[in-house]
Amino acid sequence: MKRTALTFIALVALLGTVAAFAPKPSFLTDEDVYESTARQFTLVDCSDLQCFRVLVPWIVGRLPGPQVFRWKLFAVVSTAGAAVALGRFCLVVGITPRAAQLAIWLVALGFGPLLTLFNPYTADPLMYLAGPLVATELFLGHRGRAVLLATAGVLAKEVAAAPLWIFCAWSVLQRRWTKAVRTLAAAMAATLVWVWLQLWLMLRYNYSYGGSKSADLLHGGDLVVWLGHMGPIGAAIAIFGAFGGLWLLMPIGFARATRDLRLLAIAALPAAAVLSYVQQPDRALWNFHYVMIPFAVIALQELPALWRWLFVVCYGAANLRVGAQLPFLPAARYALMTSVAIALAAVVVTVRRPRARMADAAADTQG
Amino acid sequence: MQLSLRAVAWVLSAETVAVLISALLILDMRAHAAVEQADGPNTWGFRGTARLKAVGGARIAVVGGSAAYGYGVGWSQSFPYYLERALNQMWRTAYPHSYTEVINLAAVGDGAASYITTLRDYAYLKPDVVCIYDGYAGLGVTGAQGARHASVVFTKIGYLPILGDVLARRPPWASPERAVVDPLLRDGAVGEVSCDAGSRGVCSAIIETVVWAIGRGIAVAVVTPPYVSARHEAQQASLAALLAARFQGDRGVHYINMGRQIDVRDRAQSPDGIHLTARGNQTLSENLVDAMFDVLSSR
Repeated sequence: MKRTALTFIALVALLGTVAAFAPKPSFLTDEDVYESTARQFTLVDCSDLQCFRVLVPWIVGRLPGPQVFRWKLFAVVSTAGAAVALGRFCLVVGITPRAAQLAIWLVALGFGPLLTLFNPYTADPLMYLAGPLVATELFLGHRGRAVLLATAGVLAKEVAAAPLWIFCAWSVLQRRWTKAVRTLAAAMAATLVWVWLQLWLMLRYNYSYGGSKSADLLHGGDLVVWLGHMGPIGAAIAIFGAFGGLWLLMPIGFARATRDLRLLAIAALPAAAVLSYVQQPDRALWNFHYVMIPFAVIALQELPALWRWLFVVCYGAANLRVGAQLPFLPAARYALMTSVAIALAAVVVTVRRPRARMADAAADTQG
Repeated sequence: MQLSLRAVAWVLSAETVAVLISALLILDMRAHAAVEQADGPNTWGFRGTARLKAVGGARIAVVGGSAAYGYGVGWSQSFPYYLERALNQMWRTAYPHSYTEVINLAAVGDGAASYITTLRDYAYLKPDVVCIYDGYAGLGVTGAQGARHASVVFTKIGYLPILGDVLARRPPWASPERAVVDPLLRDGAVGEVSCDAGSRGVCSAIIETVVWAIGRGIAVAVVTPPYVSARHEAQQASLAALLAARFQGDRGVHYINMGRQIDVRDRAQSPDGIHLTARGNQTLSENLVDAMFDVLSSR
């Protein structure tokens, strides 16, 4: 507990420093919508998708201090919380403490979270936190707590309900039918709260999605717009850049993980596909970090300490440049290439190592 | 604590009902989106883009029947649409240098009897001016409550469901049975048509509407639409005289006569001798705009 608290404080200090140095975005952000929602509670006739995401501005708007400070503080604390929450989730699912420690830092220094330190006017940091929190409660069988967390979360963004659907699908894959039915009821409850929030805001305050392509589900959602803008190669590079070397580690970790954990990853695919369809995939996938990063750290932990922490440093350095947009850092490609090289080494080491059950590995490190 | 399976079954049943209700509501909203730029109403039951908050300097609410609604033409071909456009043309000398909105609260089949109900229903839109573009339906075929009150949902929460009507292909806003002329106004009808005789009810309802509006600080413009018959002309002359006598000297009450601005026998202006084409509505608005500037400046 004390170690968790210390890790959280260290993360807040580090991420706070990064947030302080992160430049102001040169493009138009959702600042106006969120700040107006914070001030006025609801915006009559609002025709912006972000207007529906009310929880974060309602909370951040009540905090004291200058506007930028409040939003960056929210991003920093949520991201640090998300990292710690993922560490706990890793332990709960049977991943080694060594790997869980790596997972904490990989989230904190990930592209998605660092991007929110650069542009904090988004509900994403809360989603990065909600994912592992809800998943942990579900894994521990605390369905009631999970529903409460997810239901509160959907007031910020719809993806907060995703863990419930993922665990429902996971129970189906495990053929645990009773558990699946219970989780289905929970998932539907949280999703209905989100649906009725949308309808209430539309009918009471005349909210609409405006011209948002995310809501245009029959014509390719936001994915089509994003692909058209980026092109296939640009899109592939962006998706690779979102997780960098972790993409190489995840398949190996998947192969080495327990059957249950593998099924969890498979169960997450439909939800990840849906969100990638309505939101640009490089950012959307970060909402599922809690079912991706655990696989990466299963492979990464096979490296000697020096190399695995060097990987974290290089991976973080790349993301500090492309995510947090710190202008004084060198171009991200060098750090990215180094982290990819280390990831390749981890892949080779893991493949050559005799296959051991994850639980045994956990026992080794704990012992 | 864990719910029993029986309780979970109840929860799932309730959720299924909630999902079905949500789905119906979403489909209904999609139906509105599909028709509101064409010939149907928006989710709140009036015509045009739904805006709850005023975007400019003044807001004019038009009440009336099928003629004001723009029966047979799309939203962007109806007279309130053209009037809003004309009122916001900056080259006009009388342009007030702020945006004027025109909200079309008319409904096909509505008549003078329902105008106060309509204005009460939409009081949340806070109009600055009420334009009574009285049609030809007399007191109206939809009664004192108006067309929208046929829906319990609208009466309770102000949302007008239309999915059933759209699916059944019998939308009330396209019903020829509702877009009719009061038999009293038709050529060849018998009986006196003045406000002292056959049109007493209509004239009284319009006077009550005017009193209701000015009592709330809302300016009123009573507009006579293009004449459809000599009897209609006689009725409107009687109404004009009544308004002049009743509200003489009241700066908030205006009477505007557009009776001879459009010849409804001209098929280019009116396909059925009652309702106007897009061209007819545009001409009417062009001729009405200066008088409406006067109404706006009188507030």
